[in-house]
Amino acid sequence: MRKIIALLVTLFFISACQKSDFSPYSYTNEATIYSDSKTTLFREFLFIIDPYVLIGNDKKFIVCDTLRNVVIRLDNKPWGIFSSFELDTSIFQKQVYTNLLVSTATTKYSVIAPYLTKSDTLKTAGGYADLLNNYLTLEPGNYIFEVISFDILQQDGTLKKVKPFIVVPVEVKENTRNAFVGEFEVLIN
Amino acid sequence: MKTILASIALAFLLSSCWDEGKLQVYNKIHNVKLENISFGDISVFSSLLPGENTDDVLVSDFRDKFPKVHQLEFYMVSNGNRVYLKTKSKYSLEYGERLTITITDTTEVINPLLQ
Repeated sequence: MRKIIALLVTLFFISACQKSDFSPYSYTNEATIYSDSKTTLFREFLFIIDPYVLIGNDKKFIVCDTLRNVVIRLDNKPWGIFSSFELDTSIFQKQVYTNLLVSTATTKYSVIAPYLTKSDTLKTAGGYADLLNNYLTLEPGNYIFEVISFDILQQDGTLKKVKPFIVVPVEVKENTRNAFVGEFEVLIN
Repeated sequence: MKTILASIALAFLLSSCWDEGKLQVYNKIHNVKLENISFGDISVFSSLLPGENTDDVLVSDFRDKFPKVHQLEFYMVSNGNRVYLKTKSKYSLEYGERLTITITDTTEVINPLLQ
């Protein structure tokens, strides 16, 4: 009987000394931000800019590879800085006009503007919290959309900054992925 | 009687090499939940709302396995969006000690996918 008790006591202590069951989580190496919402989340604004100059009474449209540094603001808050899609400039008949290439054909520069963080590399927990609260999501409703400025590459290699004063209301509808803001002809002085 | 004494001595030896520390985590980040929080292979807590803290989590192991030095890992969740992060700093838990980790907006973190 004593041996049995001794054995039980020993077993008890040994078992008490084993590592507790902490149920360790196994994380995958994936670290994507994803959504488990079943609704379609708003991601981006789309718009088109047609910059032109007036030569006499004639409209001549700017020809360049892309509009650079298109600065967007939404409800007076920074939304991001973008470039337009690249344009195949070889298809246009061009002429030089005050350091710019222009054409009689309409040139259209398309821009897709998803929400961008202020920094490419977030470093703090608060930065990621801001990202998660804004990323991919914009509540349905009306917003004021502004194109603050963009840059055009001139013939001498310098950038010409244009402030187009585009201020328009835009509606974000429920369950839509994006919103088309509009097409804007912008006179370049 | 000898057997009992031997057993007690053995149990004493085994238990004397065993120790524990305590760990507590605070979530002080705005507007996000922390989920599946872990410290090394130790599951700390399943979900913390902003301002919430865990109970003391007992970390038990052989004494020579201390200090336990790990980053804190968690899923940050908000608006149905989720990202897996680790703290940039490692935290050290010594046996017999109580380690409090407070994650705030300014805590530096790493997104492993971007490394």
